[in-house]
Amino acid sequence: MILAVFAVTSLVVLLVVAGVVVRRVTRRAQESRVRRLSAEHRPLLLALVAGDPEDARDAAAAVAGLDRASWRVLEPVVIALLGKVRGEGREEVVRLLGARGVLARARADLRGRSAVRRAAAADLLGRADAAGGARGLVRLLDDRDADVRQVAARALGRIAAPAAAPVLLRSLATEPPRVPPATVAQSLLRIGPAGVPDLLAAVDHPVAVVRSTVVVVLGRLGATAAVPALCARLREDALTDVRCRAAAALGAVGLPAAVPDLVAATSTASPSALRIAAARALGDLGASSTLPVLHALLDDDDVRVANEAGTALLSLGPPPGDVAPRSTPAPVGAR
Amino acid sequence: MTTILVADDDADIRDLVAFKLRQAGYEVVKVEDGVQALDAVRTGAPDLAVLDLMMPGLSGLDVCAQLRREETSAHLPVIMLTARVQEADVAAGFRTGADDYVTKPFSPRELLSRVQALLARAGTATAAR
Repeated sequence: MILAVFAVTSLVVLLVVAGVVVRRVTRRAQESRVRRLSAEHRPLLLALVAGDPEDARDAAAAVAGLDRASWRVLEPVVIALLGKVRGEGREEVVRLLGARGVLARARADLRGRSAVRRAAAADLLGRADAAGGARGLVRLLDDRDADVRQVAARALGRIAAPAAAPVLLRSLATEPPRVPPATVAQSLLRIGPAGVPDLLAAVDHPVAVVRSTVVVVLGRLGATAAVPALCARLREDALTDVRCRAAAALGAVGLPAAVPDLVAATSTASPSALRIAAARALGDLGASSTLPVLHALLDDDDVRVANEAGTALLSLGPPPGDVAPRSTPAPVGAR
Repeated sequence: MTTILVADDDADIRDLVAFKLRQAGYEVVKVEDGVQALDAVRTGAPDLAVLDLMMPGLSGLDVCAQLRREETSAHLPVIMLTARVQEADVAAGFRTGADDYVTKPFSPRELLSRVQALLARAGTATAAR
């Protein structure tokens, strides 16, 4: 009986060991094959991405015609190149991925069961700037998986389709937001000036996070058309945080039309954070008409406001024709 | 023949840059970190260096600063290649003595044009010195 148990145990151990050995050998052989094929086809990929137009076309035709086994090895390498180059080389890579059916597969994978597969497909379509995938990506903003939603939002930004702007903003309007505001902001920035009309339409949205995101993006875009709306946020928003962001945005846009509202925001009737933000914005805005206000703020009771005014004056430099050193006082903290 | 040093820890970028430059007739020396880059400059005396900003060990900024401190490489034209596109990063690159800045993802053709322009300027400057 003992012998029988021993024999069975030994057999099981032997089988497990044999299995492990076979698996390792197979994996090594596979890795070696991948290395060999990668090395063999690397010159083609380099010519495709960095070659002269004629060489690139020849290389593209050669890669497009590779057998399935070779392509399976090269596909991840080709996809990785998407994020490393731009210009003609990148366009060749996108064309190749289209020709090999990779982009069509990714569009189909947007509806896949696995969250990883959906996210990978969204990421690829975004990186390939595959406008044909935009509708599927918009749908993914309502995906049940938070990571998938975030990847889809990022991909929509990469594609930079203006039609995605209102959808991205809607993803912020739930509690909690379906996509992190920073991701939405980045994507809206990538969409650029073409998204400004949708941003302006949402600047007084009832949800605070939408308003604050919109205000930040308008400032970063330097949207001059948004100055009246930003001034309104600065004056009227119910949240100090949004008002502070509006001040910063107005400073970044840099139109003198914002000066009266920014000056008003520095008054002692305003919350301290807003006064600081407004003083900083006046410096960023860079209008010489703000110099008297900033000088007056140097004596402010709130040292942080005075410090911002000093820093702003330093960045503005002396007014034209004024050579007196007292026109560029040091920040309060540096005295 | 004009020799160009390419330092980047990403093998794809290294190979792409080297391919484009070789195709244009330059001799290329490839290294994968900052320490190797300094060694290559000291031993090989390239005519221009393309340095990745973020490399293990010594960064491209560290390498550039060191090159500027050494007499033999103080005037070596340097192009910084990096994924960091913040204004402050670009400014830091120029402060350490980089002559030009190319952001990733990069266009191989644009990089080649910048290399050619910088070499032409360096040639003029050398002739003037």
